[in-house]
Amino acid sequence: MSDLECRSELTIRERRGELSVAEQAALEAHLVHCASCRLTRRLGADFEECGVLEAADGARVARLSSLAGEWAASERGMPVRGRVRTRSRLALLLVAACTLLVAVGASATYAVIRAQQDAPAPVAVLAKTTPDAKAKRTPALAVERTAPAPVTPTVEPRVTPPASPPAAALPSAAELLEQANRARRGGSTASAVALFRELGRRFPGSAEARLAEVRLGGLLLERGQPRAALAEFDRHLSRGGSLAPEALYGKARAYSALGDAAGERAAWASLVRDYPGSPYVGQAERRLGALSGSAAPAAK
Amino acid sequence: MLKVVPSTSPDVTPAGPSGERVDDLRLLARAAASADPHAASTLAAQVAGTILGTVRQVLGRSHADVDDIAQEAMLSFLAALPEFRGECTTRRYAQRVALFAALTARRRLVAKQRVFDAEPADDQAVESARPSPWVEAMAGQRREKLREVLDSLPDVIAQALAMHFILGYTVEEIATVASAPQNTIWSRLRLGKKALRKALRNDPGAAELFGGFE
Repeated sequence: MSDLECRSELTIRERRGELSVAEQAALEAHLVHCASCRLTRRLGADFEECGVLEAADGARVARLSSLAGEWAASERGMPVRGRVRTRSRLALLLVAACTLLVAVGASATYAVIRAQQDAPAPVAVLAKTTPDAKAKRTPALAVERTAPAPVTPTVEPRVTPPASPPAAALPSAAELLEQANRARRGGSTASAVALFRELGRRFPGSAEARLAEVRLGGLLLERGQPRAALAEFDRHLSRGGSLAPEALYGKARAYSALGDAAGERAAWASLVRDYPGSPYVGQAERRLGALSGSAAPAAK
Repeated sequence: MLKVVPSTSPDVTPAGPSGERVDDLRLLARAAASADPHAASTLAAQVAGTILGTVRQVLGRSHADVDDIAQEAMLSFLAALPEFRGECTTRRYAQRVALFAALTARRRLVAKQRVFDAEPADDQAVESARPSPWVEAMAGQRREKLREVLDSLPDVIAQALAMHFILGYTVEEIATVASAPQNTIWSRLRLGKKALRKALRNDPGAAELFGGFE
């Protein structure tokens, strides 16, 4: 039997610290003969080491935690918005139906009144033969057809949108974010920018859109549009986003690209002051030093 | 004090690499599944390390996209929570979602011809209590070799192999996750290991890396 057929799982249990002394001895004896289990053991140890967290991961964990909170808040909002939308659709339909009924009723009443006004006496109307009655009622019927006309246009557009199906086929916020990230990684910057913007437009306030603000800012900066990038970073910061250190970092670079030393200094200083554990602090301090150095001769 | 008895059923929270069986995050996961922001945030802080570690294991420790993929994995995990039926611990569920997210991302990146760096910087950032730079470099290269093989294998085989080597899942556990018979998983693992060996044979430099394992 090839060792590839070996079905021993002692190496897995060893990795979990589940082996007894006897089992450990059995494993050592087994490994002498089984290259497959030796490989499993070696690779298991290699990957175990690779997954170890570093001290610097604290900021990443905090960011992921914050992102999750924002995501849940936006998810919680979505069903409510969905219900409101459903309710408002129902309300619109009811309003439309009522308006139609009122219009028809009003027209019918109008027709009856006109018929009554035109007729000499109720008894006579009832006594009149059909052709006469038709002749008298024709204008009223014409009015009946035209009277609701002003109401109809206001009803129809409101009722039509909920019935349109294409909205259901549109990608979700998470899908848009993934598409945008994929485009970004694939080097399709223009389409990544368009997708990030669509995400922000279609799902404002969602966790994905918040994430997109900083990514979009970074992309715009890379594309040589520091002013537009600045607007994205500011948008993220104004709502206290989870990627605030990244947004400040981007903001400082955007100001630098614009040649606005005061703005750059303020952004770096804010980064150092508010996020001292951020990985960008080293660069921020270096830039602050350089900026103060270059500002000094200018002041003289 | 509760004594944890190993279960014969694959559906009852199998022990993780850390030996954990009791799911201390179950209630938190339920609250997060109902989109409670505080619960989601707290749960995420608890599983973020697992997700980050798993993404790094698949992509490489210092890969540029680790943060992006970890964020995507976290959102996938949260979105999948309503479907979670407690067939394993919440941490393992997060680990599994992260593994699949990272494998998918890696394939996507490879398909885009994005070159993956080997892992030289991988271990420099980690604590110094490691055996030696040479041993670490060898380990990094072995990991990269397995990742390359995973990239080339069909999805189901790559997933089984990744769960086995990277996450340390037993065949019973992989079968539960994959909803497949255990014999099928054994067969997938055999095919995966065979492909790995073939790749090693075709790589002259791999002899040193995997000496004694062939």
